[in-house]
Amino acid sequence: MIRGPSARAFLPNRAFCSQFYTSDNYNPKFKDDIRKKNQIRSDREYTFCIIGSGPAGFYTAKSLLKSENGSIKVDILDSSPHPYGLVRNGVAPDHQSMKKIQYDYDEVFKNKNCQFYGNVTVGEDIQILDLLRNYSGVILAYGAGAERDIGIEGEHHLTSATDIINWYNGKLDYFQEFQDSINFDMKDLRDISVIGNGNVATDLARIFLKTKEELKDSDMPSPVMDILKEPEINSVSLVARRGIYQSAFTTKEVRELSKLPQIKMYLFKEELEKSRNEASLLEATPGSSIYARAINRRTTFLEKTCIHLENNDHYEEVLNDSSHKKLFLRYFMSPSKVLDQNSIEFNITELEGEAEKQRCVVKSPEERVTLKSDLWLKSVGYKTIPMPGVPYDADTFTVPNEMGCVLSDNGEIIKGLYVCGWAKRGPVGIIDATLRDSFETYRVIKNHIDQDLLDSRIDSTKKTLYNLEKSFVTYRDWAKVMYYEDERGKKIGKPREKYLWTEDYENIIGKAL
Amino acid sequence: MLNLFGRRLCSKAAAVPLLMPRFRMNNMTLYRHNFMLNNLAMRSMCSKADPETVKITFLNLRDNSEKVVDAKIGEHLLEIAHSNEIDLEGACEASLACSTCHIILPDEIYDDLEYPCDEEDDLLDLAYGLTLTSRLGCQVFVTKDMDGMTVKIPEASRNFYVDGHVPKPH
Repeated sequence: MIRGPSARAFLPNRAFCSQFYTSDNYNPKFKDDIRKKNQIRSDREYTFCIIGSGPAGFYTAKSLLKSENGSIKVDILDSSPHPYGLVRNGVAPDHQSMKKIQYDYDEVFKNKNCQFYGNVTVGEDIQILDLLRNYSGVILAYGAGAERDIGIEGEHHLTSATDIINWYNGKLDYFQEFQDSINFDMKDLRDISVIGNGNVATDLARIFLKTKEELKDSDMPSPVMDILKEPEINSVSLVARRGIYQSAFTTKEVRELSKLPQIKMYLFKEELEKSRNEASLLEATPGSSIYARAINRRTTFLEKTCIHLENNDHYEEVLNDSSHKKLFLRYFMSPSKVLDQNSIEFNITELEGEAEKQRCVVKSPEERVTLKSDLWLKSVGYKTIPMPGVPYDADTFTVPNEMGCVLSDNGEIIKGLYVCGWAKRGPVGIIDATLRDSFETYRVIKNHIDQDLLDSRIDSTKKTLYNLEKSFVTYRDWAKVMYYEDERGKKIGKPREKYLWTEDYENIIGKAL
Repeated sequence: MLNLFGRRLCSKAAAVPLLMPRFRMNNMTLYRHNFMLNNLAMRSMCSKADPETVKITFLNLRDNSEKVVDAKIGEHLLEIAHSNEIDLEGACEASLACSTCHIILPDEIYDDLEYPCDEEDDLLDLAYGLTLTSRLGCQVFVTKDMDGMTVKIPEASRNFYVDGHVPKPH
């Protein structure tokens, strides 16, 4: 049989792979020792409290509940009346296949040893110390809820990507608040720019560039859709500080964008050539690191798929061509000052340093470019919001920890306090990374249980949550809301039509929230 | 090739015990059994005696546990893992949106498969502990050549239990 070049050619060589867990490097000698170590076998009863019901909390709960004799109970708290965290409020509404993970969640919530308590805010309604006192262990899985700052003059003119994402995902009670807070008129938008080029930026680009027809299978709330799809968007630009090789989005996301009809992607030839320095080429050489394969494939894809712009005149010409929509990928631009709502001044950057540690530096601060756009969005990453009573590392915006055990200010491990997900390792990585990260935290917890380091607790919930002055939402309550959302969606051919107000929830559940 | 030949022989041999108990049955079961056999014979005429299931071993590298399962030809490996309670995540339910069902195939099986599509490769780029024969479980459909193969489910996290150190409170 004749075949093309092997896909395996893109992979690092075997010798390199074996630094990680691969097919051939497990040691059979430890087989019996390790076997079944992943299941909790203690006869004592433990109750854990997980704060946050996003993917991190969910995967930790799932692992804990797999204990063989059902001796582990899990309470999941969330400040929202609904579960799922970013799966509901962050994953783009047109990525329904990713939102399918909800069905997997539901299986966990239906487990009799798992209880969901929505509408409970730790730090306000209940204190972390109360939880630590009454539960065998508390697992922090509240993610990274705030947008990072760039730290430049006039930054308040920029619209935060988080805000717009929450709005188009139908965050509860946020619909009107967002509209009141924005300083532009949605229907006048034509050219949009995003500072940052991660997967969030590509989500934004896709949502803006897709037509109403292309979004009809999404679960974007109808009132949002009517406003968002009123303007005819001409172009979206993603502006990044470093080169093409250091792009933050994944190949999957740009490939999806490139497949949309009516959309063409553009690169500046000059920026592409500038990207190809020695260190960057090394970063993309298969075998040089675990990321090399991905970087190589992504860059090759971009070079092949994007149309190369010769100069600024060419750019202007393309921008004014109304026959199609455009996605511009811009590189080597670092924002220095926001002049007004529509214009930002950029410094031209250069790469410095060895492969994988390349930073961007501004060599000539006088050299400035002003870019104009109808709307500037800021999508430069997230940070964890500190929780009262929980240690916080202000440099990395995470909870200081060792393999998921939370460390106190003097570096000691706090008994019974764990962290997982974005609050643990920072807001990077896809769902797979969170899955594995939660598993690491789980294994530490399991080890502590096996060594009898945790206290056995039985009626934790009764002691803490039942005494709340506020009413909470159980999974049964939520299931009712979900049912009505699905029914509403069915009528108009959507996966679901989300309720946007707490009052709607109250009416369905029958209690004041 | 020898290997393949051996497997074919095995599958024929497995059909023999089915025929044996026929003589020890009462009329009714005999009738039923005959019917089944006829059915089987019909099928074997159409599909050259393909067995409907093959044996696949799942080796979970998280705890080195092994499980041998009967895998239906034509189903994908994630489906088979789930119907046999094997600990393989499938967050996006086989819609090619995540890389949680990352598995490692034996070399010879990997080589005989079609190449992964671009979308699958994009996701494999992001998979933990990628190997030269990594695939997504939801994209690999069972064929009769897979009889007896061992599928490995990779270690869950990169940096745990490597040196046996577990942090503990004092």
